Amino acid sequence: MEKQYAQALFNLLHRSEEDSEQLFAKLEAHLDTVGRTKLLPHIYRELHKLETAEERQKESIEIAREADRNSATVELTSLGIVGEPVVNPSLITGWRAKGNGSLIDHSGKRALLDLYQQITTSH
Amino acid sequence: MESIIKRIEEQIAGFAPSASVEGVGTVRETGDGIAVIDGLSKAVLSEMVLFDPSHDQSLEEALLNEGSVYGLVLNLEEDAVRAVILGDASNVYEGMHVRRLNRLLSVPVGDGLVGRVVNALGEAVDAKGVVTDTSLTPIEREAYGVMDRAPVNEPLHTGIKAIDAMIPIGRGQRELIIGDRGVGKTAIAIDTILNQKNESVEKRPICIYVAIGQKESKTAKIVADLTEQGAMDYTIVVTAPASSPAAYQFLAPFTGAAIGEYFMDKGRDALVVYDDLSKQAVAYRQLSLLLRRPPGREAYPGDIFYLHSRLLERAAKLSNEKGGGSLTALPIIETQEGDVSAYIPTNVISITDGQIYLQTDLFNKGMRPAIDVGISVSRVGSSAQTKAMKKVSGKIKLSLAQFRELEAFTQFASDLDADTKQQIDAGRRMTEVLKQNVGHPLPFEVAASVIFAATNGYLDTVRPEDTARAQARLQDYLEREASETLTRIKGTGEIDDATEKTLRKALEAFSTSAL
Repeated sequence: MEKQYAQALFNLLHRSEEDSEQLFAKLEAHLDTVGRTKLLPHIYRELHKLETAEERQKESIEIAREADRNSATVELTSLGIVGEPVVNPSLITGWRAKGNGSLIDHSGKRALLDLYQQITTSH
Repeated sequence: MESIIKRIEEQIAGFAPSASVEGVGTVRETGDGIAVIDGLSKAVLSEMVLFDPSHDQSLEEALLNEGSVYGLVLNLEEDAVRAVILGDASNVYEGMHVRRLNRLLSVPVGDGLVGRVVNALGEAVDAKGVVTDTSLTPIEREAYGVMDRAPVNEPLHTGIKAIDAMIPIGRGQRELIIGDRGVGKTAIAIDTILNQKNESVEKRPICIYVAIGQKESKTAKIVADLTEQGAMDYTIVVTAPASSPAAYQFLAPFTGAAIGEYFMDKGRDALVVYDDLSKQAVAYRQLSLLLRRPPGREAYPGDIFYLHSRLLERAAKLSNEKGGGSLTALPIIETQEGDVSAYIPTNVISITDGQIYLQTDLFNKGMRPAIDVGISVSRVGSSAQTKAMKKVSGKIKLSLAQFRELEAFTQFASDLDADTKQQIDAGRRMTEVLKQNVGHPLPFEVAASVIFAATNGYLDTVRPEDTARAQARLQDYLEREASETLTRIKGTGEIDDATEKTLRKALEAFSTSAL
């Protein structure tokens, strides 16, 4: 039941114009009314999971170096991807875009790892 | 070495970052070998996914870390996907990046597997190096349809007289071996594998022994025995020991079937032993409960029947248009206290084309193999017997049934007429003839000749308790003095008039000299 409560609260937090403090207070009052106050910590835990999942699903664009910003933007735009890139030096070169359950990894790191995998598994 | 360097040069020259779109997700929670993954909205059932730690690591960390683990998607839920972790679950953590691999779970199959011991994913575990000369094939596939099959009419000789005479198995059949623990179920399967050494190389089936949930010491001993007897030259062992994750014990039989189908599709014969499917059912139950699937009877999931039916339906005898190959299955089921009416045993009995039922009572009385011929059956029957065996074994089952009734009668009747005594002695003698030491399968021509001798009165002067010794001497005598007759029986598969004449001559000489 806590998952359903958490999902409902999550939806309200994103849809409603009400203050989040007020929504939490209303939830607590409701749970008190139906005698389910004990669910509260579990609901908050599930809500945290939903928020973490949403955070991870957010669109992100990473580039390897600041100097690559312009060229990366051109390539991304040609693929219909728009957004403000964040610098991630671990990519070595290129860029990486994630969003809506998909990933395009055009980074040097990924290419090198794939090459290493190909060489070590075929020989 | 030159070619390897050249290939590496080509790969480096062709190196370039790709821009393909991949489906990705994130691990929300993990535990007990199951990962709940957010995202992966387009994942399909039984798709492979990769738990990829390199997404959040530097290149150096990623190269040093062997933490990539594969998973198998088994639950598609409204807001998440549940996958079974195929590997070290301790390498999977919350927040870990997961990639779809856009392919179903596949295992390597091919001639390179012969003589090797592999795990449920087809990876070598026998310390003999990587398996080569293989191709990847999906672990699950649909069984052949009716029109692609041919009738089962070619015998698969187990080398066990009681089975080859009364419960004959054909190539392409599914024959269940069922009984309590420690009654000799595995021994029958291993003797069947060992007996294939007596077949010619062209007709010898490739044998696949799938060890599910077994002790590793037991599997090691089986591999050692097979190696010692030269059987590993045509055998593949797939092992998912008791210490392996439930996912491996669930998948191992499908791996065995996929390997067997490779040879069947090439027009060859294959034999696969599933030892045992009870443990696969338990592993699948564990996985299903962890995946929150609703439990049914005895807490097994609702599709437990389908688990075994889709596995065993893959055994087949193919038509000539499809190459004429075959895959014979010998599933093993362990019962508790002899209860064949339990859930899993009845399921598998209804799927297979017969069962060999081993009784603990018979085992304890010294009847080994402890086959209860009264309730054992082969639904293929004499279609899977050579003419030679058909000729000699025609009435054994009936006469043994009559003997068992008479034997019960002797317990309370002290005064028996001569005919009854003779029938009882004959029954006891035949029972002794059908006993056989483990690890000593008999070529069918020798078995047919011994049974011919027993059913035609050549052992009538032997006391029932001396039959075993007499039989051993008879076998030895036939192999020495009647080898041509045996060769003829083996070559033609029958005992025609001329062969019968020479065989009778040899048996008369044996009776006169040795008995």
